[in-house]
Amino acid sequence: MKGKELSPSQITAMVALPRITIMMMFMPSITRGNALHDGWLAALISVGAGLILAALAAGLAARFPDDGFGHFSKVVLGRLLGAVAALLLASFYYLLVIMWVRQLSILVVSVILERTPGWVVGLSMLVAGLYGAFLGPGPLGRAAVVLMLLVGLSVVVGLTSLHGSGAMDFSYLKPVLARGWRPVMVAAVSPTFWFATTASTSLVLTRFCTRPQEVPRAVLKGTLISGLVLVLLVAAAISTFGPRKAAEQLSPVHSMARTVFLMGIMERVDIVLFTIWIVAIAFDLALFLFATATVVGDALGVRWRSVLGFLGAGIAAVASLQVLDVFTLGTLLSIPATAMVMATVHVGLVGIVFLVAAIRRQGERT
Amino acid sequence: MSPIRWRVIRWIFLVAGLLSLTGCWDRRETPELAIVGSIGLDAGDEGRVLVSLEVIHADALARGPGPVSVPSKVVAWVFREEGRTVLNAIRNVETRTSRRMFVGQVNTVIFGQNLARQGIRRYLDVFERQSQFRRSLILNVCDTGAGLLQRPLIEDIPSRTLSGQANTALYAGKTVVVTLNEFLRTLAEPGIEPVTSHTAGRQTRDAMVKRLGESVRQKNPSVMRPQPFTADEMPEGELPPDSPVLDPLREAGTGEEMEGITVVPGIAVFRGDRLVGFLDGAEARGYLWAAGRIRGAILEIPSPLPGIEVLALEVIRVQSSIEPQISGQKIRIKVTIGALLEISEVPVGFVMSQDTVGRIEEAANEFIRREVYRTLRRVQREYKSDIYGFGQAVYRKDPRLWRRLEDDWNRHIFPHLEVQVQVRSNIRSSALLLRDPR
Amino acid sequence: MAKGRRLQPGMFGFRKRQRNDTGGQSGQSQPRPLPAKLADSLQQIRQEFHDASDLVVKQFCIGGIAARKAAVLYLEGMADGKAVKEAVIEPLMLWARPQLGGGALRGNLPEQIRQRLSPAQNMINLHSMQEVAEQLLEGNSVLLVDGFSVALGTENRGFPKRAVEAPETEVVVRGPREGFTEVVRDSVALVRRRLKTPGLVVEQMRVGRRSVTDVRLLYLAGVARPELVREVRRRVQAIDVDMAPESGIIEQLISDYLLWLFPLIQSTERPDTVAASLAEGRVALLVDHSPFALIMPNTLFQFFSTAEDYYQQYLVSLMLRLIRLGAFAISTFITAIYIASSSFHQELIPLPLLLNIAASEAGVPFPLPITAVAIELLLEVLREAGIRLPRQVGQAVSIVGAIVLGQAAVQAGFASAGLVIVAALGTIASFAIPNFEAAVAVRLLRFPFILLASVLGFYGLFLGAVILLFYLSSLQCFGVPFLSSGRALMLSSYDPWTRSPVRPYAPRERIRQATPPRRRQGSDR
Repeated sequence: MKGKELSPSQITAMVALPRITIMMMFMPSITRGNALHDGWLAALISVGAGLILAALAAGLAARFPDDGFGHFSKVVLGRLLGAVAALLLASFYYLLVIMWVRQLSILVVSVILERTPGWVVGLSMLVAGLYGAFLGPGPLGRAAVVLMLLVGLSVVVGLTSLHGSGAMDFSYLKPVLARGWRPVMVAAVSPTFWFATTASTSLVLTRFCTRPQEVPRAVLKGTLISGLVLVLLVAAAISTFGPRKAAEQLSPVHSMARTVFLMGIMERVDIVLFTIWIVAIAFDLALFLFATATVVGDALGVRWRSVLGFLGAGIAAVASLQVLDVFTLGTLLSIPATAMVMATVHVGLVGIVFLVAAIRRQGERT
Repeated sequence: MSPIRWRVIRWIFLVAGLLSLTGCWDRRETPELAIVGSIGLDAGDEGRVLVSLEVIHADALARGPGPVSVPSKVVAWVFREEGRTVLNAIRNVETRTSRRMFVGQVNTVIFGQNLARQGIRRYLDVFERQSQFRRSLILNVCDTGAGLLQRPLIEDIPSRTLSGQANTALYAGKTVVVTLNEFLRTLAEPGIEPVTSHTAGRQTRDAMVKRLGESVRQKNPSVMRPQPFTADEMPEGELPPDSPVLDPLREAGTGEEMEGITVVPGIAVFRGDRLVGFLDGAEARGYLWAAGRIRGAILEIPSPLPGIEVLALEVIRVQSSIEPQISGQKIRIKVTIGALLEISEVPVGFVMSQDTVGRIEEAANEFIRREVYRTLRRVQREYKSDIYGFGQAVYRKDPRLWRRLEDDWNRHIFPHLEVQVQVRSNIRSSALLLRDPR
Repeated sequence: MAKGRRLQPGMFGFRKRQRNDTGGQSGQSQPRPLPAKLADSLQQIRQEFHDASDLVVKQFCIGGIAARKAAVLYLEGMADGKAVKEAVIEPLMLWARPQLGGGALRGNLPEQIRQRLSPAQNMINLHSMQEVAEQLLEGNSVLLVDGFSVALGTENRGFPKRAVEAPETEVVVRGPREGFTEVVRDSVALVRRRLKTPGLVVEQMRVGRRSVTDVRLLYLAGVARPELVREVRRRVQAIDVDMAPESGIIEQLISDYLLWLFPLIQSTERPDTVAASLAEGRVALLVDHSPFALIMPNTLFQFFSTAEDYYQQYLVSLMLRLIRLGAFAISTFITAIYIASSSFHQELIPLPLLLNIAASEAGVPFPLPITAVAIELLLEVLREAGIRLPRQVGQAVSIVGAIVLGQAAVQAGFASAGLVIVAALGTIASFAIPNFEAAVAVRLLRFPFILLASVLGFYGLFLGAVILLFYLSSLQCFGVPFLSSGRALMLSSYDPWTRSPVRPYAPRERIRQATPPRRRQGSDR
């Protein structure tokens, strides 16, 4: 009973929320491609593909309802290989956290707080994230539901007021597949793996759920919800800026909020709406730091809270010593590089574990 | 107990330390700011840009008992500086002011005609790139230069008169209101060219405008370089000084030109980011019909009925569609306009019946069609700029064909495009009166 | 340690049933038997009480002169002297000799007395010194008869107490006006009257080595989760203090955390609130000498609900709840929002308003955050002063403070008008939160948010809000998450955000039956 404190609906929120908030930073991966007017189609395709990958991860997790990835990868792959696989996944999560912190501080500094140094933003966000991660899965789940409500409300308010201010021209959504399928498929690759990434947290979260059998459904629901939001927002961005202008925006979501003009009062709502979204990323940091810590803890047999201390100390030390400026760690963590890493981790790591698990079960049966 | 206390104390220290590390980089107290209401951009010397900032005097406009008593009624100042870039010009202004220029409240950017003809893309960049500016700010081209400072009519804040005028002119069917976002979108997308609203007016020589229309002559010439309006400086081809459009600019009765008074007579047409000309009055409406951007207007149509000279119809709602008809290499554009009208003012002698309404509808169709064609002809032949978005319609219909045509669309194809205009107007009612009261 | 015991419902005089179980905390030593001789007993009792001057000893003879000697003891002011005289001394003195009979004086006289007087007086046998002392301290009288080592405790408490009055901290427009008093027995009765079911369990416990405070644990059997009841009982029994004069102390002693911002245990003066909470599956503690009952577990949304919500019609109380939620947000954030928007993001403010703010702040020399903190502190001082002062003066202080000081501060250029308005709005909004302690917590919360907003603007503000959210979601009260919503609580019925409508009589039924439509009880939801 101990630790089983997440309800399936909380897992839905925990899966959907990171995907929605991360859109602010990584939506350009769709809009910047060659898909142009058909960007929303790319988003739609990525939802479909993402659902398949999410089902894979959640299905794997549901097979071991009482174990974390760090445990069952050892069961499936053997002690050494399993530990290596778990550490790989953990380091992927850790890399994501570092990348988000960096990307986020750049975004905040260029959008809201122009004169504030990036490390202040990054560090304060990291502190919030560490605190959240430290509290464990139950509090994270409850916070996710509330944040989900807030973010959902901000999406609704933002889109309706954008539409109300007459900035959208839906005719820009029209050319369906003017350039063939290829650019659309290319644009869909990166968001697909983002869906898979957030869904893969179920590998960690399932064992904290009160009803683990319902986790796959909850994960798919969360993926679907965030997918709908993605399609909606991409469509909104294309119809607001036109496909070519949308490609130029650092954060199309922010620029959309900056375009709102309603009744002389609803102006510059980006400062409020966008900040809510940005700060909701603190939850993503918390979730993924927690995921990293538990996977490492399970793999090495250490308590996860002490791992968390090391993780936080690692980022903070690097930042404060200024050996390497974490927050401007540009080339190493570029968007295509991340996409490649993501693809490797998901199709490679999770897929292999899934396959081996499936084969073993087959073998047991016969 | 004690671990809990330690945890709390640790967190408090951490947060306090973090906060003490941070200064207040982005904090700017409101009284330190000079609130800029609108920005004018004009061509300066040697390819530089002349930036005019309208700084609003908050103390003069604040309501209620403030701690500061206001000795004078100056509501706004205009500061001007040149620079190779807009931002640098604003910084140059700040060398003369005690407060930092705050551009977050700018809602209108006015381009002088001379600058607009040179191309404005490079000056628009700052408005899009800097997060302080709104993407919803309204763009405007003024034919007499952008150093313009409105004399506050009705409004307290001078620049709000200008944006207000554009909005009322929009609902009178005389112009469009184009935001920065829309301008940039149409600029970036192929097959459609941008337009803005067109402001005509006299440049004021005042750097300070007082409330209640009373003006004080500027003593210090360095604050602004007055640019007195003369007829010679007017660009050729547009609006001669005796144009009736400019009538409101003359003091009633005396014919003397009033300073700082503007009107919004129509739209400014761009090809790419360069201004190519203006469409005013009925010509502007000719564009609005076809583009489906008309929000309301009064049409004075010659009456088809015997004994009645003219009828006024109010435009309630207009829907228009642009449909390219492609057969082989031949492209024909079919513009369909559906207008919902209302009979709003008729001279005596009018009897409403099925027959008369039909005849008025016929007349309205013809009237609208003629307006559309007249504008179209001018835009096609003179301006050669596809402000209607015909090219985009072709693109949506046949992307492959469009890719072949894209390069010489504006220059060779658009000017010779065959456009068929079909108008279907529908008179909804005759307002409150059923028939002639006789 | 005393073990709580389930009591038979409907029985008012349950004191004696508990007698043997209690006293665990007051005296751990072996029970000392009473001496048979009256003089010895009296001397020992006087000694036990260190010759207390309020110990009244009335000696008399049963059945008139030359009969058996007896004495009645009670503590002055604790027991009703007149009642003792009328109910114990007089009947015994007037007992006729024939009635007593010849052998009666040699037989078990106290047992006879008990049997004869008990129906009216509720007498119990006392065998030890400790029991006698306990009875006296409870405000009962003790009858000693010469020659017997058994004393008789008679219940005739008569200590001064307040009548049942309308609760002052939780005023309702529609609803019962009764509030708890300082006497726990009366308070229990007030709850009992609202839950007329044998399922209402009242357990008694004693807390405090010296104060020996009477604490009653109330819950509905079969509704409250047994683990919850067990946990509450365990925590109350584990309390080891000298003094427990008020339920606030108990609250702190059984709480999950050392420091907390929001009260994790609800306290209320209203019996109807307690009854409704018990019906929801919560557990209540009633503490002697305190008119505030403790209800646990508490959740955040409990702060925004009042008893009245369920007495008014659905739409009205739904709106009121949402308004309270809004007031909570306003009170917490509005000053910080003002600072963030007027010193970081001026583009957010509509231009006419911005001009006013700029003009009114132009004359203020201090930075906005400093002025804001000063104004907030001033408002807190005013509020505190208004509470402590007598009511008539208190009102004057708040009016003088709010209007005169605020106006003067603005005119003298100490603060801008906008800031004063915003700070006042925040303070007033905090009064819309029904729970007083939650309102204080909210006002306390404003200061960190002001700090964050003045360093990092809206970003800092929302970051603080997320940290607060993490904090709130980490809180637990008796194993129930503070932020839990609805079903996870496993309470029988509970609506966190809003309240659900009370279902009226089904329309079809109404048509079929000619009887006038009845509504269900308001608290039945």
